[in-house]
Amino acid sequence: MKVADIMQTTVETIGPDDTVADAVTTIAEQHISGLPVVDQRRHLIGVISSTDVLQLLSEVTDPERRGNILESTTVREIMTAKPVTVDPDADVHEAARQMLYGEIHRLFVEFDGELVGVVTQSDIVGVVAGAKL
Amino acid sequence: MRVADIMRTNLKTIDAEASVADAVAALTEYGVSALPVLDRHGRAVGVCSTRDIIAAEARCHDPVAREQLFEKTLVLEVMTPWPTTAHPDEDVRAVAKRLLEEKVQRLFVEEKGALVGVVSQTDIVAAVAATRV
Repeated sequence: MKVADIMQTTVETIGPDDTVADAVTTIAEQHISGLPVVDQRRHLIGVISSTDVLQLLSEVTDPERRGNILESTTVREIMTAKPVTVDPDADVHEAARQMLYGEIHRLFVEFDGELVGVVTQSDIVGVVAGAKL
Repeated sequence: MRVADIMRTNLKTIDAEASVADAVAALTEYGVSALPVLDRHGRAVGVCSTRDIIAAEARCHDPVAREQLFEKTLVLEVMTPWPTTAHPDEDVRAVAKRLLEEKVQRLFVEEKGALVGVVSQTDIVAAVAATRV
């Protein structure tokens, strides 16, 4: 089974100059754990996850600054640049290995340098649940 | 394959009366996405996950509310009530299905009323990566 068979093709994205507060709103509304960061040409340049947000919050100890930190920080400042990507033709086992070794919950799927999908841990769990491997 | 074959047993926990700031610090320090919440008698009463904290953050619309959330809000107030659990002898495919149906990243594992471990989507992805399922 290939990544293209199980990936999601509707992917919420965010821009690098949006605020972390914007990212938190989208992450909470969409019930997802990470958002791809894309430039104006829809090229993938990073990923921002709920873990990145918690890390930011845990590093600020000054109460006044902490209240404003999500609004005053841009996505670019805390995103992980150059996230791991996978080819749509890659095997699902290979995608699982990449997630495991990268300690990540999602892989972005790129074709010809453009973001075409995302495959998450839940998509792989779904394969196990359906015993389609 | 059974849950006992892939579950993790070294569980970190947090007190129901700890602050949200304590939970953020614990989640980032332990590098986990959720902590079982124990009451003063050591009973599991809920789960506090990064998702719960991001959702609570998203509900705060100003710096004052955000700081209140951090310092004045108890884990008890943002946690998800204690969810359904898995059994060590349960089949991994059945658990995979439950993770997706219940839309959760993990199920805690109980045996005879005692909390003995946790099985997460990551553990199932690891089994796929090792081509064990």
